Amino acid sequence: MSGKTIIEMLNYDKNDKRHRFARRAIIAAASLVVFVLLWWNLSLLLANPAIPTPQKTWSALTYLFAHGDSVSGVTMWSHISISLRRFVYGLLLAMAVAVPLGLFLGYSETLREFTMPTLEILRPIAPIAWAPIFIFTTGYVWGPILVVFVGIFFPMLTNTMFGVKKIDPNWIDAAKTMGATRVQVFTKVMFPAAVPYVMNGLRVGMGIGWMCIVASELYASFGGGIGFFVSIMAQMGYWDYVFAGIAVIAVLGLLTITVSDYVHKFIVRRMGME
Amino acid sequence: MKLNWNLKMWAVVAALIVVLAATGTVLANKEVEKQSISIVARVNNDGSGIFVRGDVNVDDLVTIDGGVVTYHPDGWRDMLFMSPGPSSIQHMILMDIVKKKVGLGFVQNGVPYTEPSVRWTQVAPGQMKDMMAKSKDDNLIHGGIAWEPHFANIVASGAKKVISSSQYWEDHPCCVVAVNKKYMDTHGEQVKRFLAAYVKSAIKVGDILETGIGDEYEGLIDLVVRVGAPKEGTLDRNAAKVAMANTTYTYELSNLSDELTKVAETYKGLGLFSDETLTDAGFDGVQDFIEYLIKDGPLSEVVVNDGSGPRAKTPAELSLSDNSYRVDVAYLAADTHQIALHYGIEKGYFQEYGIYVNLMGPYAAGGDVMGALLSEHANIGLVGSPPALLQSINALR
Repeated sequence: MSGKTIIEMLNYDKNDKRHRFARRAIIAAASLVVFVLLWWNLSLLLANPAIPTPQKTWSALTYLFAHGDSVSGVTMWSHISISLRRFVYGLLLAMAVAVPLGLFLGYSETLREFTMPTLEILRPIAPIAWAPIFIFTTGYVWGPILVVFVGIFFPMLTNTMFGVKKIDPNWIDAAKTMGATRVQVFTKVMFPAAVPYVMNGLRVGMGIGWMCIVASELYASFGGGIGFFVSIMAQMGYWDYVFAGIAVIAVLGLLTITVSDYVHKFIVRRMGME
Repeated sequence: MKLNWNLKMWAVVAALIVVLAATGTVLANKEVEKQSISIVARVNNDGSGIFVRGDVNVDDLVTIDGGVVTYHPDGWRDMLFMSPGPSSIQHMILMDIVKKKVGLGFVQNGVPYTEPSVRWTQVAPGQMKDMMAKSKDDNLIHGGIAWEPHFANIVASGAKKVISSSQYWEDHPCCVVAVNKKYMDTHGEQVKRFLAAYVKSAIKVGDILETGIGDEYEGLIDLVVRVGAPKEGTLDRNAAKVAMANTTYTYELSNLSDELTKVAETYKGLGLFSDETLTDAGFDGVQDFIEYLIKDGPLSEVVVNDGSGPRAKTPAELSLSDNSYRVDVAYLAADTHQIALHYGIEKGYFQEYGIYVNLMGPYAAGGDVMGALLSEHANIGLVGSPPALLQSINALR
């Protein structure tokens, strides 16, 4: 034994990593217990079928993952897979368009001045407002993907542009002095320097994109997805299933943001740009 | 030596947990009345149908001989049908046909499946014609099931009829007049007035359709074209006439209990609810619950049969005061099953009985109308009997 008393061992030491972790874990657990108890009380107090108790929601959740529902005929895993697939397609499309465009707009002031009025008109429009138009013009397969695309596109574009504008002009001058071509300046200086900003745009965009996919599936979807699942279950009054779907949306949203945060931090650290 | 934790904060958290656990336990043992509805009249029987694209051979799906329908599973396999949504009676009919009569699986489009199946996707009936035409080149959507007038209108536009819903189940129940139960208990007079006006309108619509000619008939068809079209000019006038002929308009509750029991058994067979939900809520079973839902008292008070056939009692016969009341009525979009409601409003029948009908909606599907009723957003709703039944059962969960 190190000779510490029990009270000494239980005392919180903010310089100790294990103590910090334990503190966070205990506070999080207490917070969740209070949240679940509040939910339980509210559900019983309102006695409204649309607000099921935590126990019913948990039973529904475990049942849906194991057996699925009789309406769609598939398990929750399938709905998650469908929504994730749409999300990834929208994300890849947004990256493919927003990053090169952001680099160009950040690099060329004239091009930026020319396109900004249009982009500023389009940017404030909520992505879900496009859902009926995208779904009708491109169909039920591409419609929700394009809604995600719009959600991720603008944060990525503005962050990439900002990243390019923030580059120290001396870096570009130095590269040119050393004989770098315009393409090399673009690929060897500007793009790497803008990456942390691109990642920040990605981090913000992924949060918005996840909300977009669920919202567009709630509106209409050709082939399931969690938003669609929530919508049809609400139509039929399976409120415990609706809450289970909402819980899945919350967890997936949290995971998406955690992963993008981690990737962002990792790249920023690797590039020495903390 | 003292602990350096924030003990006051932890004491508050612990107290909060104890209090919430205690109040939750008390509330869990308290008897509460669940939200529910009462079915006070029927609206229509039949009036839906299954169709396929013009290039699909109907004989590959069904053959009909002397009224007997034979289903051919190979023709149905992997087809994609549009449905107004899982809460609709049309969805239940299609699901029952595919699973029980055709013998295939019934899966949502877009999800992987291994067993031989028919796929479905949700499309509002008003958009089905356009969606089917749009997807013709890529062979995506093969057909659908819709309520009238969309079924007749889609068939008139070049699609082929597979079967009408009456060929699946003759005189099957469809829409009903449902009332929020709390409203029913506290606003009996308003329900009675509304019902009297509705019965008058339904009888008149039935009489006009029986005649089938004349100014009143053409006037009714004008109304059908206006109400039944998702946008102006999209409903063919002849299709509107066919749609009206395919639907039986009524108000009577006779046999509804048995018919809803059959609907409930179908739902149970499809795995959409279990007896446990009903028994846990204190009902003996399906029949007991349906008897709780159907309330024939108000209807029997407002209908009289004085030799020349049944009719709605006049305001004087009902001894109604001169008061007038607003009633919030939820209805379905572009659904001519509910034409008697619109006819009664147009002809001033509801005003005659001191009722101002405040139309809520239109709602896209029966599940949404039920949502409006159970949340007390609407007092009365015209809704398909299957969603009325299923949502009422689910409200007990």
